[in-house]
Amino acid sequence: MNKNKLNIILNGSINSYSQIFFSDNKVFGLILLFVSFFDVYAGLAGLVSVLATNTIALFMQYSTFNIKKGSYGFNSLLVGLGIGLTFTPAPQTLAIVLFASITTFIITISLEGFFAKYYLPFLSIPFLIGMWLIVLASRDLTALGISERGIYTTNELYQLGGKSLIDIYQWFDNIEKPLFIKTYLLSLGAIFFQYNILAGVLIAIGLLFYSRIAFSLSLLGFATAFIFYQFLGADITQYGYTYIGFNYILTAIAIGGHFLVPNRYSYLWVVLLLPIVVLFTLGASKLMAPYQLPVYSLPFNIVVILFLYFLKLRLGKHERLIEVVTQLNNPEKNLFFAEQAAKRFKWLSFYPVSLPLLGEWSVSQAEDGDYTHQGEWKHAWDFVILDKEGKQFTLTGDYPKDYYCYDKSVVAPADGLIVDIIDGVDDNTIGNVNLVQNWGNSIVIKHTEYLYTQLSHLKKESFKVKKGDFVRRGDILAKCGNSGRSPYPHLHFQIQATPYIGSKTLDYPINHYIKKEEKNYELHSYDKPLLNDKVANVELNDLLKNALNLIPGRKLKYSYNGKVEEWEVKTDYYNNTYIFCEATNSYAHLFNDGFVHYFKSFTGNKNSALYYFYLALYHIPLGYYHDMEIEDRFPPDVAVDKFKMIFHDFVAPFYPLFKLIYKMKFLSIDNELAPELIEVKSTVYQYLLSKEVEKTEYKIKISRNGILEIISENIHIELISE
Amino acid sequence: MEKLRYERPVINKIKAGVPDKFGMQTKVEIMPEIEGISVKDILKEYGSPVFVLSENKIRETYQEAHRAFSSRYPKIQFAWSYKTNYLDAVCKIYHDEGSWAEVVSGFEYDKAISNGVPGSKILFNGPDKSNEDLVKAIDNGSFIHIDHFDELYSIIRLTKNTDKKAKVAIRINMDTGIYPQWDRFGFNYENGEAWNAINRIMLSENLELVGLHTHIGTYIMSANAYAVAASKLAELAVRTNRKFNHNIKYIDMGGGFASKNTLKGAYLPGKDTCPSFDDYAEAITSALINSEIAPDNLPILFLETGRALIDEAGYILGTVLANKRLSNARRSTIVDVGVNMLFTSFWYEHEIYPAQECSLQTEDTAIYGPLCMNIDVLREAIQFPLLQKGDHFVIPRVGAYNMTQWMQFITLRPNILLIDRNKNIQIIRDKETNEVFKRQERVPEHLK
Repeated sequence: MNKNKLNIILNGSINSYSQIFFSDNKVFGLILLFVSFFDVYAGLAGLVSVLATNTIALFMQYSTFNIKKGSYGFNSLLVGLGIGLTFTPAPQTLAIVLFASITTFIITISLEGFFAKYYLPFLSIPFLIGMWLIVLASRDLTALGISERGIYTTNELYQLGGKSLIDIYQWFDNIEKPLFIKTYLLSLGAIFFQYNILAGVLIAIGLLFYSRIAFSLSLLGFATAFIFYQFLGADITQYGYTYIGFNYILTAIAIGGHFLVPNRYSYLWVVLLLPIVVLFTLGASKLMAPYQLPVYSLPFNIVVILFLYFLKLRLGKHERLIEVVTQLNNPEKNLFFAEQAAKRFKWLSFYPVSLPLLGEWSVSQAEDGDYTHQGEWKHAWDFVILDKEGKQFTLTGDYPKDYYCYDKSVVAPADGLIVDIIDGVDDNTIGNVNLVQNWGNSIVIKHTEYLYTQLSHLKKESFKVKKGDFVRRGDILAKCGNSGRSPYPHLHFQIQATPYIGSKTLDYPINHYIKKEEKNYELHSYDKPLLNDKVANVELNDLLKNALNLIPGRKLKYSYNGKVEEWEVKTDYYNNTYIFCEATNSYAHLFNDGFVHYFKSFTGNKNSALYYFYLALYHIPLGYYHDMEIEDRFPPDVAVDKFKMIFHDFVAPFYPLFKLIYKMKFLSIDNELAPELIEVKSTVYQYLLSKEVEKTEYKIKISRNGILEIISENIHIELISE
Repeated sequence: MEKLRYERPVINKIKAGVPDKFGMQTKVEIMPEIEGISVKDILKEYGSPVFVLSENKIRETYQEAHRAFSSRYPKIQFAWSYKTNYLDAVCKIYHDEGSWAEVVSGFEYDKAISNGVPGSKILFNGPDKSNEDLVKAIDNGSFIHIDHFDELYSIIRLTKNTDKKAKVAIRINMDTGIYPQWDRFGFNYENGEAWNAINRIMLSENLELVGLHTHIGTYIMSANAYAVAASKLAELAVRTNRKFNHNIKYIDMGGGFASKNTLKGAYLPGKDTCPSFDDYAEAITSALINSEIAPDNLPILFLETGRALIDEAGYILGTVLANKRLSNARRSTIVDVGVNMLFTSFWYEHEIYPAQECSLQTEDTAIYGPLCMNIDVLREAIQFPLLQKGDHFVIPRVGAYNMTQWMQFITLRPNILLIDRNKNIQIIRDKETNEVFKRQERVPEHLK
């Protein structure tokens, strides 16, 4: 077996432990591994199951990604632990452990396939089926001795750690603890079939280390259930050592922070769902009682899967209860990623559509307009050209040619195929409309499947393209006119899902545009122009475009306070581009759509030039607009120190304690037409609540050779040219 | 009641012709005030003659021209042609409106810099640029419009001593179907010299070819000539892009737009025949938009129009010195405005308006300036009412060239006034005094 495969199996096996809490944190995994060995035989049985399962999975060529994550191993692990604890150690037991692991793995894969169709997780259902199977079957397997371990805990602990461990254990047990804390800790331990408080304490510490959000959710979930029991007059400890309390803990973590982005709404739903889990627990226990089967994690599985499916069938946009799309196996990371995704990564889901305009035009009717942009046609824009006084025409305005926009070229908003053209409709006299040929002379362009754009009211016989032509973004299509339902010359622009003239419109943003107000420029990205906005497409600057054209294979060399770092731009098989610094083992993932450069994430050494490169050049438009400012937000863990982050994490789902704001401003350009030096200032602000607590300014110089220099108080990063 | 003016009897020949419905119109319009300010008051306070410029008119005309182009083409930049009128106040109005500076000598270059124009916003034209001028322009990042190969070689040589790249454009002359063809400036398009120059620039390391420039002539009455010129420049830009993968950043169409003055020998008045800014704009911008230049790389369109922007905003106010009969019995009127200050009267049939109520009767009159020189003629023949000694008159549309091409000859040059946006009169150039001239002169010791 080569090193790589062994690596996958070992990583996957440790992660299988932490995966029980939806984590892939190694330290947490090792703590759990240690806890499982409180009962040596059970621990061994668990380890054997997980290793066996992962080995089989690897050799049968199941997804190495899932194996590494521990997704395949954790159900077998639970079954193994259960068997190891229930039966006395013997060769027969080992055989059962192995077969049970294989059975559980087969069930895991089958359920994965089944649930995947519904985008649902299989959770620990494979464990339930596997464990019940063994429990029921074992009644006829007389060779297996039923173990009495788990009942005489101190005996086992003595075997494990001698007198000192017993002392610690008893000291723990003897401390006066409120019932709540005691049952909480026992329930945590019960997840690993450990019915003692020490196991609970260790797991709680591991959980806190892994995620503050998961930890607070575990308390919230358990407390809700606890109070509900008291409220209903039921006894939470009545099921003796089976302690089904972990159902409440796992449900809370799953719903509150793992499958949903942790926020006040996910927390609220934890509180609402927990009583339901309690009801399922009580009900299911009665149902299973005749078969003498414990419910194990059945209530958790039922409620979580039901609720997730329930959410998936919602219509419309979800801004409150947000499902986690890219699972990062950590509630904090899921939260920070969701914040980023909402603002920054949503760009990636749109096909870039620009304005179909040359130069600066104004919006005379926006979405949900007063005149015609209503109902199914509400996502559309009308554009005209205004002069300084805000007038649309010169002279009297009695003829179409008096209007500034009349006879002006309109261009393709994105690459695409011309699928339809209507020509031959005469211009209306001013004030009249042609309701018969409502759209007038129009053109429809197909950009991708289910994405078309339509331009209407064009001038008769002004088309420069014909049906079937392929046009590039910015190619001239026709001239603005006054045909169709158009009382005065204007351009109607809409984005639609079907190729017909007059199709209903799509709610779709414009990729980038500059809004001009007085002498101020604002860059709007993936946004929609509003009524009376003066807008234009982004005018690129060669110097900026070249400096941030970080294409795979490009090598960069920078000195950082005297040290030299060598970087290479690389791309992975998901087509993510990143800068990699081998010396510091750091990665900065980036995005560049030809108009804007931004960094997606940074991982690695924070005492490196690449880290400051990431901070200073977090978000840079590729067109120079003097004095224009850009604002963006970092995920808080990028620059807030670890200690502060602990506090941040606890409250983060409700309110970001720390905020990191990025601001960028173009300071100067030495020559507008043939620039050789552009200066940019970027600032990273750290806010505690809404008070600014820290501020770092970076001065960036950009030349023909690229990003020449980044300077802040203690940092001097300089390009080393070959 | 003011005493009625005495009007001398005149005998006029009846000129036959088809009268319009109002009969034969011979009455000359009068211009008693400029922007609401009485001509008489101005002359009384600032002396006669005097130049008057209107800030409002300058800005309005600029905005009209800018709108004509910018509503048709997304990237427009005007550069104020310094030689047309380089009074600091005038230049600053244009710079305030957003104009860059177009200069044709070291003197004008320094003037632009002292007017606060950054070096990177100066276009440096003209056949005469000294090495010192060129070095200065290279250092400041100004755009040097190369006129001839000798200049190109100079620049290549000069850039060897500096680490800066010279930002250059070339001036190109071509056949646009008009006469005369200005072929004395720049490189010729048809004989391949222009393409040759482009290649030389592209292959030299220290020069960056930023723009292409042409200036097809002056007072061009045909907008179509500009369309031809724009197409030819666009064609060169496309060829440069194809051969060198280099985008030309700007195309400078120069100036030469006609103003509303009437040229000598023209049959119809200029204000009826000259193309409007819209006509020029339509011709130039359609040629560029319809060219093969990729819409993403559309060059900035530069315009250096001078005359058409400022002519309308300038007036000269003067006073009648005397009337007399010529040998052929024609009347002549002698005024205090001569060709020394109204240089453009060599080319234009300037209109002249009396500044006070005057006779309804007009007579064929020759108007002479005050110089003791035979050439000093403002109008050979004009239907003009009789003005008396001391009466005032206004000559409009004199903003271009007069205040730069005028000469100190026989008399001193007068005040130049600006009526600002609040209708206040400001002196923007003091009238010359003897002191001014004495300061420049030196008398050798033995003659003292």
